[in-house]
Amino acid sequence: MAGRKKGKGRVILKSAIFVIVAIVLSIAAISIFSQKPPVDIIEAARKAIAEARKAEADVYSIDELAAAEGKWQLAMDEWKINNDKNPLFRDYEISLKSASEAITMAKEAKVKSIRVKAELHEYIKKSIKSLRVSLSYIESVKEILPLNHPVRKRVTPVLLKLDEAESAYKRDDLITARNIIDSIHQSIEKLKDNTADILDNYFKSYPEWIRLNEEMKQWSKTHSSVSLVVDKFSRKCIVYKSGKIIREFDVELGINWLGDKVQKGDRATPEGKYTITVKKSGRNTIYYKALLINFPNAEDKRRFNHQKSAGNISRNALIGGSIEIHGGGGKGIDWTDGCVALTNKDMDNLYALCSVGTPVAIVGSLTPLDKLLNSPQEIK
Amino acid sequence: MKKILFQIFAVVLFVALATSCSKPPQAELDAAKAAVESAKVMETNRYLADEFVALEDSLNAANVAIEAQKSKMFLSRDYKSIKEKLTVIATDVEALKARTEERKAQVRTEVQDTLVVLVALIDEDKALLAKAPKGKEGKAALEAIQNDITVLEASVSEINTLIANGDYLTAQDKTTASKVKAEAIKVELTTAISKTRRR
Repeated sequence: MAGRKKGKGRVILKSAIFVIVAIVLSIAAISIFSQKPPVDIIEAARKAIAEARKAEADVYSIDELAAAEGKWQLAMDEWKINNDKNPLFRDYEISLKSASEAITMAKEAKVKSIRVKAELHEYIKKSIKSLRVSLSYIESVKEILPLNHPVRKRVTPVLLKLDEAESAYKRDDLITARNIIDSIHQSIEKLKDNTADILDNYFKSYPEWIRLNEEMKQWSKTHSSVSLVVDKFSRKCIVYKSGKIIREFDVELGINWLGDKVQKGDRATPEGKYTITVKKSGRNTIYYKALLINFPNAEDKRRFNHQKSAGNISRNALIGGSIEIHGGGGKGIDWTDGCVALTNKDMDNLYALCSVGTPVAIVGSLTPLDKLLNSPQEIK
Repeated sequence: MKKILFQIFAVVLFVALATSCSKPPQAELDAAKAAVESAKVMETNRYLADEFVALEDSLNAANVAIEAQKSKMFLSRDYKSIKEKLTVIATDVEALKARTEERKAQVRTEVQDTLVVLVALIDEDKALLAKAPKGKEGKAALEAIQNDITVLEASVSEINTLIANGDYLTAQDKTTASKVKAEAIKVELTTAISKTRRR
């Protein structure tokens, strides 16, 4: 009985040892024959993606980073699926391939991001600089344009936007800075072109202005008498006598002084060759003393009728008149309805120098445009 | 003999039970993921970008570590350190969220303070504009300045919308730019008025 029991125990012990050995052998077999998990390559892909993100690929190389992350996620998903399988049947091929592709893509995303950021940095820096130059040009021209000129209204909004772009650039938000710059770039350049066009068109008459000035100078020389030239841009009234400048007075003009007078009420100072027709003082003028000129002259009337027939001005428009060189000036601003204003003190001197018949040329500028824009001090 | 046999089975059973209890820390993983997502909602990625990217990467690293453990034989799996790491991530995210909130509050306060100054400057500009000479000689100049003030008022309205939407950084850019312009107008008007007084 005891022998039978002992025999049975030995059988159980042998069986147990067999089971344990079988388990150990199975584990060894699985370890040897199952595929090695893709830990290293997936980890390398993760690090590559982290590097790319550190290089702000999520901002400057979005598509490439998204592709890399997609591949990495695929590698992870495949790995998870395989981890749920029997170790002997696991296949990490897709994970390995996807992780490898993720590494390549992440590296590309990093390189692209660094490049794009550097290029964007340079683009914004250059754009801000160039737009500032354009705006500075517009601002300098704005200063010489009439106060109510439409260009003035268009400068402030774009100037604010440019400041905003620079602020975003300084805090390294290059995308916001670029978006703002792109939104104002066209407006600023267009404004600059418009501004340049306004002056370029105006200065097409420059040769005629120079000719008129020369004519006044010659006239004063020939007649040994006084002639006047009013230079709108420099806000000066030049007095010639015997071919020489004997006096210069500061003047103020009509509010819409840029350009020739077109019609009554446009508050522009006319341009052309005129003559003093009446000298007024005392109760005859509300502006201390005044020298009435023969506006409109024959040329003014011809131009006015042409504009009217071309439909550029209303059929009911009037040409206007009563343009004077008068006192009451010294306000520091262009304020008249088209007349030329001097201080009362200067008016006393000019009044004394002039007589009925004194020729007066009113011109845009005696200084060329390029010189005016480069030397703002020439502009009053 | 029987005793030895039982001892062997007991050990095998214990090992089996012990290893079968070593499951992936899913709850901690979900909590860490949720924390990172909530940080994103709070714009941590905008205000503290580098720190946010580092935390996201830590979460990815934990995911890799979990799968690496799953790939191992059940006897050798160990999730203890991963679990700790995930807990640390969740804690770090909360700390980062607090810092983000702090940074946002700081920017918001700066913007609101500058906005108060800007609004006061616009009011000053308007008051100066009212004092400026109103003769026909000044009308066009005043209209030009009034136009600039209108642009600034529109800017204030935009800034308020940006603040209401929580976009404090853009609001900051706009406030700074508008303040510079409002100051320039003040100088322009003050100079013009003093010139008039001298005359």
